[in-house]
Amino acid sequence: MNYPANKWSRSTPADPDVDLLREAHKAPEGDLRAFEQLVVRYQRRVVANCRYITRDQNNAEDLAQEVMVKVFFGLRGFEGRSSFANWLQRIKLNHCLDYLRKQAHRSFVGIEEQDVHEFDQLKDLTTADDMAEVISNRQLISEVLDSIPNTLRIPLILCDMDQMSYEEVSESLGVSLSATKMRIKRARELFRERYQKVQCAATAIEQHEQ
Amino acid sequence: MRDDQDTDPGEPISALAGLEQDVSTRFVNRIRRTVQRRTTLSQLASFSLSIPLLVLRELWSMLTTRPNPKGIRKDADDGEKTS
Repeated sequence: MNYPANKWSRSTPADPDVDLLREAHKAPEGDLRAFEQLVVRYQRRVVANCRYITRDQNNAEDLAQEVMVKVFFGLRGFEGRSSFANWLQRIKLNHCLDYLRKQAHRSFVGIEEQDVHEFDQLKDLTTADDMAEVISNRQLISEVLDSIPNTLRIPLILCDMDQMSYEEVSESLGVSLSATKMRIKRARELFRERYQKVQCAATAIEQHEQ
Repeated sequence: MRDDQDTDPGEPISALAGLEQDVSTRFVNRIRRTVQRRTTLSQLASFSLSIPLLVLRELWSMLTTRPNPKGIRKDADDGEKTS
């Protein structure tokens, strides 16, 4: 593979992945070592994103794997106009949204549908055993996130998990800027409200146990 | 990445920024195997397209190349002498 030496000159100066990307390009066919280092660097984040965007714990790794494979075969076309992390984020989001659309066709549940996974499910967690599973903070966050509908959850994840700007979220989702801001605001409110409720319930059960 | 750094949303929203998921140890191996499999498949596909074209081109060049008349005459002379 022949790549001009200045191919990455347009890339974000502070992009920490430039060296690895250069190595991945220079590597002979079949040598994936540099690319694997990039995978190791981003794998936990990509899997988490796939899991929370799609709410599919079982397929999160498979989705992340497909994203990484797409990234590998797309590396030739990557021109370095944005950072690698940004580019990876776009591929990941598009892949997850495609997955959600396919799922929606299969199960007749629209991507725009509100409250697919009802918050009521959390209210059923009344036994100590159930609550023990949810007690860790990460688990608690996962449960609350899963209870938020797609229309609010996805912008929230992009904004507060991926640290994207409102403009980037709006562009990625094809929604107007004002609608994006509104959705993020509502999602944050809903997240706080439900998080507090579950946390209060957990504390009450803990005290009751004692 | 984030241009309009608005006010910190505070807990528990800020906890989302550090949210990661554990990954199985085989994850990288699975990606490597998938990449290698797809590369092999694409090479096979390109071979299966290029090899018939190559054979056809060779056949065409054999048919269109004129045989050397001097060479044929010489062979015929040699045959007469030996008989």
